Amino acid sequence: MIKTTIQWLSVLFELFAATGSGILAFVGISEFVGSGGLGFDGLRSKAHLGATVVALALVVFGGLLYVARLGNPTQVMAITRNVSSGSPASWEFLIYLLVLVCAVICLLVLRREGRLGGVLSALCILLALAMGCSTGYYHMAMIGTPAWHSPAIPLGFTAGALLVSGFIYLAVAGCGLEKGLEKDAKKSSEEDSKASTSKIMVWILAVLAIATTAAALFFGASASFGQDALLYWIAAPAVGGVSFAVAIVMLKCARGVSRRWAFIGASFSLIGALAFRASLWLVDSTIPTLFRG
Amino acid sequence: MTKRTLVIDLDRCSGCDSCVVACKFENGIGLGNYWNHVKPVNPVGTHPDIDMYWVPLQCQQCENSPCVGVCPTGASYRDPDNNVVLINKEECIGCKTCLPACPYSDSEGAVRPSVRWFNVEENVVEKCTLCNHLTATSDGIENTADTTDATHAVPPCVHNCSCGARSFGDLDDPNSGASQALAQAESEGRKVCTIEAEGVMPAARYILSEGIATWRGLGD
Ligand code: SF4
Ligand code: SF4
Ligand code: SF4
Repeated sequence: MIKTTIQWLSVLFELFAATGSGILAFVGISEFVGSGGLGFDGLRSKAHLGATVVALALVVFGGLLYVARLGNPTQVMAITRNVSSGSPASWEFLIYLLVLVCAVICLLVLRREGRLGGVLSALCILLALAMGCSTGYYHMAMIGTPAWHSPAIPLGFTAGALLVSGFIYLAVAGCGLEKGLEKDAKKSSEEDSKASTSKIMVWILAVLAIATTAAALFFGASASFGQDALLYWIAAPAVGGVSFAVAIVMLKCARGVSRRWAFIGASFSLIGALAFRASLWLVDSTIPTLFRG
Repeated sequence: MTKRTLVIDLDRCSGCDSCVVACKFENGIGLGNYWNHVKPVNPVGTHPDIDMYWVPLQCQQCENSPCVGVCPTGASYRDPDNNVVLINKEECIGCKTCLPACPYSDSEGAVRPSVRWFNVEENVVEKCTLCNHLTATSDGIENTADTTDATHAVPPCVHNCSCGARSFGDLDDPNSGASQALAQAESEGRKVCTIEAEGVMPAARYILSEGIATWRGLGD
C-alpha cells in the first residue's frame, strides 16, 4: 500500500490566506497600540502600505493555489453559489473572500488616508482570527479522521499563522521605518530608533510562539504519527520554541527590532506552521490506518 | 425513511472479485479506479484452524453521512426519493473535502480500499451509487426472468456475484431482498455485523458465522 498523501495545495492555501490576513491584523494592532511614539506620520503609513501590499500578495497567492487545487477557476463559482451550505470548506472560502476584499480596501484606504482607522483595524484583527480558526475548523469537522477532532488544530493554525504574520510585519514595516529614520537625521536618535520597534508587537509574538508550541505539543500527545513521529516532534513544536527565542532576543536587543532577527523569526515560524499543517495529514486514525503504508 | 443498502454474506464470499469487475463494467470505471474492493482480512491461527474472510467494501450508505455535510457545492447529496447517498458529478469540483470526512476513504481517494475514489481524468470524486440508475424503485428481489424489470432490479455486483453472497434492498422494508437475507441469517443464528466508525451508522450489513471466522471488521 502507498502512503496517505498530504493535500499540499490545501495546506499552502490555508497557510498563505491566514498569514496574509494576519499581517493585516498586525497593521491594525499597530494602529491601536501605537508605534513607540512615532504616531501616524508619513513614515509609518508608508511602512504599513508596504506590509499591506505583502499581505494582499500572500492572500492572492493563496487564492491561486486554491484555484489550482480545484483545477479550474470556474469551479470556484460552485462554492460561492452554495456558500450557505454550512460546509467547513464553504466557511473557509467565505472568510477568505472577506479577507481578500478587506485587503484591497485596506490598500486603498492607506493610500488615501495614511491610516486604517479603528473600525477597519478591528475588522482586520477579527478576520485574521476567523481565517485561522476556519482553516482549523475545516479539519476538526472531518468526522472520518478522528485524530483531527482536537481544539489544538484551530488554536495551532491561528497562533501559528499570526506568528509568521507578526514576524513578516516587523520585517517589512520595521525595515521601512528604519530606512526612513536613517534618511531623517532628526529622527535618527537612539530614542527614535527604539521607537521604530513596537515592543508590544514582539511581546504578542512571544505569546503566540508559546500558544503555537502548546498546540503542537497538545496535538502531538493525542495523535499517533507512526513512522513520521520523528519529523513531527522535531519540526512542529521545536520551531515554535525557536520563534519564542527569537522574540526574546528581539526584546533584549537595545536597538529594537532588527530586520535580520525578524526575517529569522519569520523563516522559522513559517517552517513550523507548515510542518504542523502538513503533519496533520500523516496521523494514524482508526479505520484510515488501512490506508497507511 | 428508506435505508437502501447492500447486505453481504461473508460465509459465501470467496474473494473472487466478480463484483469488482461487474461494478467497473456497469459504471464505466476507468483503469486503476474502484468503487468497491474485496479486502482480505488476513488469516490468523495455525493450520488447519485458520480464521480468515473477505470483506467487499463500498460506500456504506451511512445514516449520518458526513460526506454530504462537508461538501461545499451540494454535489454530495441524498436522493430525495429514496435517500441513497450519491454524488452529482456535474456539481463536483474535485475539492476533495469529502475524502477525509468519510471514515472509509483515504485523503486522496486513491488508495484501496477507499470507498470514495478520485477520478483524475474528470477531476471528480466518485463512489458506489447502489446503481441507483437501475435500482431506484426496486424492491431488491431480482426478477430472473426479466432482468430489465425496474421494480425488481438488483445492482450488477449482486446479479454477478458468483457465490450469491450479495443482496440489495431497503432495510426498512421487511420484504426487500436485503431484509430477507438478514432475516434468514438471523433465523439460522448467524451473526450480522457492521463496520462501525465514528458514529456514522453505516447501513451496509455483513453476515458472518462464528463457525467460519470471528468478525474482526476490516482487520488490522
Ligand atoms: S461510507 Fe463514506 S461515502 Fe458512503 S455515505 Fe458513508 S461517509 Fe459517505
Ligand atoms: S470533491 Fe466533490 S463531492 Fe467531494 S466535497 Fe468536493 S465537491 Fe463535494
Ligand atoms: S451497487 Fe453498483 S456501484 Fe455499488 S458496488 Fe455494486 S455495481 Fe458498483
